Amino acid sequence: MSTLPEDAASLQAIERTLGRLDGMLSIAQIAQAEPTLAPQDVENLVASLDEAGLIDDDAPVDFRPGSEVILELDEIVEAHCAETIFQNPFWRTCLDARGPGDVPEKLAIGMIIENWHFLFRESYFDAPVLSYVPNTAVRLLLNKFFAEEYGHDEILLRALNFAGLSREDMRDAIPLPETMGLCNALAHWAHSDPLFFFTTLGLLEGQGMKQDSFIEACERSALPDGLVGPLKIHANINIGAAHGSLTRSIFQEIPVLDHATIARLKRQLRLFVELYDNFYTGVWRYYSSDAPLLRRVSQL
Amino acid sequence: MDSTLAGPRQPKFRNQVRAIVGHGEAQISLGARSCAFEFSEHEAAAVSRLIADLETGGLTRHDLASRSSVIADKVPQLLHDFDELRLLIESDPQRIGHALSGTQLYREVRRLADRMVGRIATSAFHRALTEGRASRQQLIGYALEYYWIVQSAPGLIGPALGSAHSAAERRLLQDFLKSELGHDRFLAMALKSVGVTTAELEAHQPLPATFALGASLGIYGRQHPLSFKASLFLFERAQPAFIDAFDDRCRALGMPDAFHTPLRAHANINDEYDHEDISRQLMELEHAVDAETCAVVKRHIAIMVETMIQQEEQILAYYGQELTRVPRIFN
Repeated sequence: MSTLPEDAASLQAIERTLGRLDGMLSIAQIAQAEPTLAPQDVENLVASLDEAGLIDDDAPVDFRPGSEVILELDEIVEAHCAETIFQNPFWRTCLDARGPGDVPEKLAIGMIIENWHFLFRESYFDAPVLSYVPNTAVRLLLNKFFAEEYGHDEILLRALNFAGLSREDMRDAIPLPETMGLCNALAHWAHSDPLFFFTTLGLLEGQGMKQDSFIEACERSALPDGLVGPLKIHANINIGAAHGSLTRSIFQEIPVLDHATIARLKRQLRLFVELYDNFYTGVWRYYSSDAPLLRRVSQL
Repeated sequence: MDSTLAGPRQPKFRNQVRAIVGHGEAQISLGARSCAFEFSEHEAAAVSRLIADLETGGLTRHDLASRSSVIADKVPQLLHDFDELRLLIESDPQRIGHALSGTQLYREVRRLADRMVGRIATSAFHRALTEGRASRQQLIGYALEYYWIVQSAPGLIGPALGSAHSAAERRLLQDFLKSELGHDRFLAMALKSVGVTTAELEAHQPLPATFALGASLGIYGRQHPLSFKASLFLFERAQPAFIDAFDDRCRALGMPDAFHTPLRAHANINDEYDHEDISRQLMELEHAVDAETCAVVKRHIAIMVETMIQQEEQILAYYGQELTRVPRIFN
C-alpha cells in the first residue's frame, strides 16, 4: 500500500480533501480541487477509507422505471409483429374472410385444438412466476391473473366436444411442435428470466384488442355457434379482465431496471414474436393439409 | 375438491385382513387393529357372503349389495366404515394401473424416433452438405445454432440434478454435466475464425426451433424428468457421416480449418464419453412407469424429433437469405 505525503502542506491538503467528501463531488472533482495532491493519492485515500468502512458511495445508480421501459418494449413488439404475425397466412385468411367458407371449418377447429393444448398447459409456464419473490405487487397481479385463467381449457373443450372430439380424444392428442415449442419457451423464460416472461403476456393475451379477429372471421364465415360460442366466452373473460394490459400493469409496479436488463429484454423480443408467429404458421400449415384432424400418441 | 374420498370401485379386503363371522357378530382384524359389528340371525348368511365376496374381490359395490340382498341397505355404510379403517383395496382391473419398466419404455421410444426419422429419410441439412448446396453462411449459421445449444446445456441439465433420487442417478447426471462443461469455448473459437466476435455471440438470438429444443430439454429436466432422460439420446447420437460431410463442405468452400476442427473435436468427445447411452443408463433406473407417464414421454419425444427436423429447415432457410450480418441480433 502506498503512503500519503506527510509534510505540513500536504497534511493541510489532506484535511481539505477530507472536507470535500460530502457526497456532492466525484473523486475526479475532488482531486482537481486539490492540485497539490496527485490524483493517485486522492484515489488511494478514498480506497483506504472505504476499506476501513468509513465512507459510502453517494453517486446516483443508473436505472430506468419499468413503466417507462415497457413503452419501448411494446413498440418493439409491434414493429416485429408488423413484419411477421400480421403477414402470417393464418391471420391474412382471418382478416380477408368475408363470407361462408372463407375460414375453412377444419382450420377453425385446428386453431381451437392448438389453443386448447396451450391453455391445457398454462400451469407449466404460469406456475414458476406465481412465487415471484422480488416484487409483492407483481406477485399478487400474477396470482389474480392465474386464478382468472384457470379452467379456460375446459371452455374450449366444449367447442371441441361440438366438433366431435371428446376429453379422451384430447388426452391422446399431440400438439403441433410449434405449439409445444411456444409452451416450453414460455416455461423456460418463466423459470430463468421472469421479467422477459412478463413482456410476453400482453401479446399472448390480446394486447390492445377490443375484439378477437379470429372469432369475427369465424362469424363472417358462418361457422356454427357450437364452435364459436365457447370461443366468445373465453375471449370476453380475457377482455373483461383486461388481460391484454397485464404486461403494462406488471411493469408499472417495477420501479428499477438496469441497462443490461433492458438490453436483454429488448434483444429477445424478436425470438418470442417469431415463436408466436410460427404457432400460427403451424396451425395454417397442418390444418390446411389433408392430414388427420388429431395427431394421436396411440398412433405413433 | 370432493368432500369425501372416493372408495374403491370393486372393493377387496387387503391381503392381511382376517375376518371371522361368528354367532351374531363379525370380527375383522388387520394386525393389532380389529373391529366388530353385530347382526341378527336372519342376516347371517348375507354377512358371510359379503365377507367372502370382499375376500375375493372383483365385484362392484352394487353387485356386493345385491348378492347380499338381506343386508343391501347396510352394505354402503359397512363399505364406508371398512374403507375408513383402511381395510379395503381396489380390485377393478381397469383401475389397477398398467406399468412398463423404464428399459422397455426406452425401447419403444427408440423405435418411435427411428420410425419418425425414417419417414423423412436423410436430414435436409445433411443432404445440402453432400449435394454441395450448403453455403458458407449456412455452415456458420449451423455452428451459431449449435453454439447456442452447447452454451445453454449446463443450465438446462443442472436442474435435473435436483430430482435425482438415487446415488446411481446422481452419479450419471453429474458425470454427464461435467462432460458438457466448457464446450462453448471450443465452438466460440471456431466461430471467431470466421469473424464472429464475442460480443456478437453473446447477443445472438437462436432460431425459434433451436430455442424450442433447448427450452424443452431444460423444462423437461425441471418438470418431467423422465422426458428429459428419454430425450438425451436425441442430442447425443453419433453422426460420423454428417461430421465428415460438414468437413468436406467446409474445405470445398475454402473455410479455415480452425472453423471445422473444433466441431469435429466436440463430436469426438460425445463418442468417447458414450453420451448416446446416457438415456438408456438413466431409463434403466426407472422400475415402473405408469401409462399416462409413458404417453407423455412418447408425446414429448415425437415433438422433439419434429422440432429437430424443423430446426434444420429453419437453418437452411434463415441463413440461406442474404444477410447483412450472420448472427441474429435484434435491437
